[in-house]
Amino acid sequence: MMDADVAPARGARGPALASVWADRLGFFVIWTLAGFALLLLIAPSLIVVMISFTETAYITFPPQGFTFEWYADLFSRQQIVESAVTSLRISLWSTTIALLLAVPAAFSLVRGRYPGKTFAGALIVAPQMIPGMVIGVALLFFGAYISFRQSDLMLVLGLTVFCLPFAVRLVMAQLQLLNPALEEASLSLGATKKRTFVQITLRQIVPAIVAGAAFVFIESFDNLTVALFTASPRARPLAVELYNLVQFDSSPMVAALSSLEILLAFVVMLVLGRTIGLERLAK
Amino acid sequence: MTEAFWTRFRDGRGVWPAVPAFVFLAIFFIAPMGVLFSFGFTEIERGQVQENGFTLRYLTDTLSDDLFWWVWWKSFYIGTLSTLLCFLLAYPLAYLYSESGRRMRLLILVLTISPLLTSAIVRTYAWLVILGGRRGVINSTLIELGLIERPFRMLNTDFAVIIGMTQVHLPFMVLPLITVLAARDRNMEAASLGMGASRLSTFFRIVVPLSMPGIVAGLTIVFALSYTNFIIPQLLGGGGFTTLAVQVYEQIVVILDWSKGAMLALLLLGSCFVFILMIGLAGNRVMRWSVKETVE
Amino acid sequence: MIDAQGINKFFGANHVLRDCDLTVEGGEVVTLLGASGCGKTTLLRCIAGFETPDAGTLTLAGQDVTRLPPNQRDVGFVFQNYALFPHMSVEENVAYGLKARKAPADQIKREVADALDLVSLTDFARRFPNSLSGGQQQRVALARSLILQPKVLLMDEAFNALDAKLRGAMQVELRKIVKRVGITAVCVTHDQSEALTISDRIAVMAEGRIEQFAAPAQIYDNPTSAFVADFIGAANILTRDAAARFSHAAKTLNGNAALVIRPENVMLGGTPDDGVAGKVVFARLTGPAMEYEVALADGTVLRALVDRDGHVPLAVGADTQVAIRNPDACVALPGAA
Repeated sequence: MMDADVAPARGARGPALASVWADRLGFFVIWTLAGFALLLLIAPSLIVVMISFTETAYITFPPQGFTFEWYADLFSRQQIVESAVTSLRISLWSTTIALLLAVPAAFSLVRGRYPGKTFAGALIVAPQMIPGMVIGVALLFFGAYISFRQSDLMLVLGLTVFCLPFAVRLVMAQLQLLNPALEEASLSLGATKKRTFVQITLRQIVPAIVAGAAFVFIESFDNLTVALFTASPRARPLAVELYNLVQFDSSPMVAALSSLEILLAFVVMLVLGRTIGLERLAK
Repeated sequence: MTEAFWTRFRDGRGVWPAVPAFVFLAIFFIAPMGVLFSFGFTEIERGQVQENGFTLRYLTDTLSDDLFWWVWWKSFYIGTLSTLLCFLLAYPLAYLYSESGRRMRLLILVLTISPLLTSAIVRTYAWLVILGGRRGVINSTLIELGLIERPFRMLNTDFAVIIGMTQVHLPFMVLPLITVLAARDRNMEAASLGMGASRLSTFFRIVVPLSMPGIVAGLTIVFALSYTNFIIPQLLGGGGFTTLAVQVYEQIVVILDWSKGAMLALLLLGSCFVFILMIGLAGNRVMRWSVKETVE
Repeated sequence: MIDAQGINKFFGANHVLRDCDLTVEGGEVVTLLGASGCGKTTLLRCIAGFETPDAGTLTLAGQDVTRLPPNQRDVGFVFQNYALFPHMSVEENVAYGLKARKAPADQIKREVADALDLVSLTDFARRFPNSLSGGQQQRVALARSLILQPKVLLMDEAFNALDAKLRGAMQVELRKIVKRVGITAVCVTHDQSEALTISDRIAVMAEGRIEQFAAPAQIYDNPTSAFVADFIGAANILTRDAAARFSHAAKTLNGNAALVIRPENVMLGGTPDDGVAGKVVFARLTGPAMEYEVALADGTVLRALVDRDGHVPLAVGADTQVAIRNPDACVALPGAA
């Protein structure tokens, strides 16, 4: 119904030829950058894993031959095995403590009604805004102040502070998704408060608790920034051990150790994917 | 247990379920942060706090030291460059995610989250291998192909540190962008195309501005991480390479001057907050449209 | 069975229930009908025990339950989106209440089978709620409540989540099931046709008050307020002056302030002496009837529903005569229109 002598709006006859080419070029650049980003994400891990199988006594690419020798070498080094056990023990402790603190706190922060709740929530996730190094240093200084030395305990405490926000936020997110009608339904069906809490409320946040545990565990296990300042110099966790190896050891054994850590990451990711889904983790 | 107990727990009506966490953080987070703060203004010898040791010496000494400003500039420029590079790569990847089908999305998520769960040292180690001397991946490939005769020096350069940081922090930029881009309202783009805009200008004038919340979140996180990272500069930058974060580590662990280390840590933390605040304010200016008008 | 007296409820400064009295006989199906925010859901939640009234008493089967928690009241509640436990199968959902009561396993098994049979879901026992359609989910929710043989069944907008066609069928189905079981039921809805389908009596609510509580026909034929007249079915509500033009209606009006005339009681196209002149401003086909809006000389607009049988449709703009078919079917209201 447009008047014949009114000029059509710009572009009403389809974009001009030039802009088609600009479109193609522009999106070619965008897709190329995306591809490069993908390459950047995957290549380093892939290269490390490949190198771990080389038969040469030094790091080389492409790797020569195929051997599990470096993995065997890894397990024959007592210091590495010991530090792995130390890391495992420490991570299990920090995971346990972080969850014991985080789950009730998340309940209070999501469902509680009291003045200052926003502030309380901000306080609990505050450590997330502080770099691990600063948390470690602060704990080290605090220890010096009260004559509390670097130790497994100090490391566990530091890691718990560092990881608590992740655990609280994961559980809070799940709690916010819960439908309060489900709990009312349970009560109206005659279930006690306790039964309702255990079978309906808690049961539904189990995925978040499992995911939180997996996340805190791997963060603790891999952590270097807190550990460098708080770990006992005698029983070094694996991350600190690896930090030293990376700087001073050029044997493919380091690549083998790194490959095992990558494998561990995939196991944890599988757990996360199965419990709360990877998309949720993106938030 | 009594009904009342479970009622209170279920409803979380009180503050008390959060109290253990508060107490824990008060003792092992707030108090240590306080000590860290006070150490920056105290004379300490051999780990012993001296009586009446309050001093502004460390603050004035540090701020009047040219070396400090040079190191600070290095931190700032490495952090900024790697953040921008991160953004340049992460945005197209997140956009690709939002335009992809289920399988591709899963692949991108797996590739983005797996490095997040891998130790930062492992990821940095990979760069030692890739950028390394004659046997490094890049050099050995180039020599093999006959393109060069002698290896490039790539390790122990600014470039190595920036590329290492970019790679290690890429997931932190990709994830918030994925969240906003995947949830965006595609009718906006259809409307833009319908009004005759080209795809490219729709991308820059509709998609990018609407994803601003994710952009601000990503820039903030990645800048904070890059600015305070001391592992990557140490491993990829070589012995002479230093940033503010590296200085903190060296003062405390190597030189054992805790007061200086504490002061540097405070300045690192303080300046980091200032930059984050600036990113946030800039973001708010750009995102004025997202503010909900409150009608009274 | 249910006796609520003088129920008042505040949310902060909001007075959401004002002196509500509601008495429901055993085996009766009652609907609380009203627009959103009228307090109907709050009243239902007070009966269920999810909310505690700030004043008033609530008796269930002779027992004062005003302060009793929901899990001790013996009421069944069907939620708006059914609130089925997503991590439990249909069977487990239905068995939940019996398990909570620590019933023996063989009894649980038998009663769950019976309950699923009642709602025709025997084949779905092992499915999870998310794999069921809306109608099936609703029947699971119903079975889950009915299996406990509660004193009363409460339903909160139980048909909201269903699409329009299924909704009608499920309303009929629900009324049949509830009547077969013989349970006392209170439903909440904002949909008048749902209320008319399932209820023995309807309580129309507005602004926290029960405006009228009566059988559906009574509410339709004798609304006690302009609000009720307007809410149930369509109504022309004429002021005294406008109504006075219709000579036959004056007797019914009898000094009251307003007159309710249902559209189907408005007759078009009579002879000039028994009607008022008007002009058609809108016309549409509703299926079996034509619906018109006719403007009178003073600007009053009347809605008229005319059976199509033998009726020659009027065009918009046509002049016509408006009259009242049966003056006795008009209702006079004392309050202002």
